[in-house]
Amino acid sequence: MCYEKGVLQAHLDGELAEPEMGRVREHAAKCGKCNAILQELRDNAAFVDMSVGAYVKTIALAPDTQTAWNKFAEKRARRRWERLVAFVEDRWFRLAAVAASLAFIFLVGTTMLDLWQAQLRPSSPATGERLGVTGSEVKHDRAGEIKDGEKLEQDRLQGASEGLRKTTETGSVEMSGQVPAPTPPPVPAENGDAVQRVPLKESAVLEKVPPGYGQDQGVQTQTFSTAVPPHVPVELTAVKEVYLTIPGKPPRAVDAAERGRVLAWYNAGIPTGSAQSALPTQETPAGAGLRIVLADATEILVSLAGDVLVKVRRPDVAYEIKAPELAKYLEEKGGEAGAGTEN
Amino acid sequence: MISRSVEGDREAAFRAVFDQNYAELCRRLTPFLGDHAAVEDIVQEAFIRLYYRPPSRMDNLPAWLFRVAVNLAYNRLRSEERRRRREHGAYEQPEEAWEEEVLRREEIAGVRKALARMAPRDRFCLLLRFRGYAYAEIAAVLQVDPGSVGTILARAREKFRKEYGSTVVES
Repeated sequence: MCYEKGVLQAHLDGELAEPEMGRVREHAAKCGKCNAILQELRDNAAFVDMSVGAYVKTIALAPDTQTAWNKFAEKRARRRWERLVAFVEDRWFRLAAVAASLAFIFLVGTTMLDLWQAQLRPSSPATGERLGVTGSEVKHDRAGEIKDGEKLEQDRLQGASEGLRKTTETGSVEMSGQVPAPTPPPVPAENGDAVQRVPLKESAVLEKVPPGYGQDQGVQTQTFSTAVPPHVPVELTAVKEVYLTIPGKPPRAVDAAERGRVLAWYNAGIPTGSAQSALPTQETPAGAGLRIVLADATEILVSLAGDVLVKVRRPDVAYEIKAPELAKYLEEKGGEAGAGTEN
Repeated sequence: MISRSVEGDREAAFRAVFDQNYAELCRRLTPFLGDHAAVEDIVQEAFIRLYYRPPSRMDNLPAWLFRVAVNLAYNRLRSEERRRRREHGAYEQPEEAWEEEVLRREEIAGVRKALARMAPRDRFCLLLRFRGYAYAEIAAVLQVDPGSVGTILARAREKFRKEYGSTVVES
C-alpha cells in the first residue's frame, strides 16, 4: 500500500516517529511510485528553498527606527487609554448595569406587591381573627402602610378587642382557647458593627402586634428584644423566630435552606439551629400564617413562591401574615408552597 | 522619585530591545505579508504585546517576537480572507498590497508574486518551514492538526512552483 503525499513529505522532513519512518523508508525503497513522489517533493523543496532564500536575502528593509519608535509610543499611549477604558467598561459598566437591573426589579416588585395587596385585602373577611386579634385591633392605614406601635396601640384601645392573644410568663405566645404555640426563647444578640439597612417600605400584608399589646386586658405582651437594646445594630442572628404555620399543620421554621419557597432573605444568616430547636411541635390550629419577630431594627425581606410577602424592619414587633390570607395565597399558587410546610 | 527612576530604566531597557529587534523582525516578516505598512503594523503590535504581556522567560526574545508577530499576521490575514470571501465569494490576494518598488530583480518579483498569489495558510506553512519551524509549531500557528502539516506543505510547495512558473511566463 502506497503512502499519501503528506506522509511522504513528513518522512522527507524527518517529522515521522521512528517505527513509521522505517516503514516508509522500507516501502519507498521498493515502490517506484512512492519513490517518484519523494523525488518530486525533494525537487519542490529545493526549488522553494532556493527561490525564497534568494528573495529573503534581497529584503533590505531598513526602517527608520526612530520614526518607528515614535509611532510605537503613540500606539502604546492610545492602547493604554483603551485598556483603561476597557477596564472601566468591564468592571464599572457591568456593575452599573447590574445595579440598574436590580433597581428596576425592585421597583417592579414593589409595584406588583402593592397591586397584589390591593387585590388581596378586600377578599379577607376574617382579617385578624385567626391571629387572635379582632378586626378593630388589626389596623392598616389606607395607604397600605403599617402603622407604628403607638398608633396601633391607640387603634387597639379604640377597638376594645377580646384579647384573644395571651402571652405566658416565659414569653411564649398562646392562642386564646387553643393549643399553645410556644415561641423560641430569646437568642442572645451579637452586637455587630454594621447592619445592611435598606429603606424598605413596610408591607400592609402583615399584622403588627405592638409591644404592650393587650396588657390592659390581662394579655401580656410578647417582647423579644430584652437582651438587645433597640439602638444596637444586630445581625439577623437576633431574629428570634421565623416560622411558617398553616392551619392544621405544625409550624415549622423557615430557614435559609428553603430559599425555593422562602426565596429571599436579606442579610441571610438565619440561625436555623436556634430557631428550629425552639419550634413548637404541636399543631397551631389557628396560628398565624407567617410570623416573624425581630429583636432589633434589622431588616428582612421574605418572599414566598416568588412573591414578596413580608418586608419588616421594626424591632419588638411580631409581624404576621393572616392565616386565611396565606392559605388563599398558597391555594392560588396551586399548593406549591403549602406542600412544603409539611414536616 | 524611586519609582520614576525605575520607570525610566524600564523605558530605556525597552527602547534598547526595540532598537535591537525592530528592523530584523520587519525583515523576517516581510515574505509573509509583503506589504511594508502591514509588516510594520504587525511588528509594532508584537512590541505592544511585549510591553504589556512579556514572556516569562526573556532568554530568546527575537524568537518570541517572531512567533508573536507571525501569529498576529496569520490571524489578521485569515480574518481579511474571511471578509473578502464574504464580499467576493472567493479568495483574492490584493495585488495592490505588494509594493513594486522593492522588486529588484525579475526572479525576485516572481517569488513575491507567487507568494502573494498563495492562500495565507499555504504561504505561512511554506515560509515557516523555510524558517526551520517544526511541524508541531507550524500546526500551532495555522491552528491545524499536526498530522496535516505534511500534506499542506507538499501542496504549498507545489503551488508555489506552479505560480512562480506562471509569473515567469507572464513577464
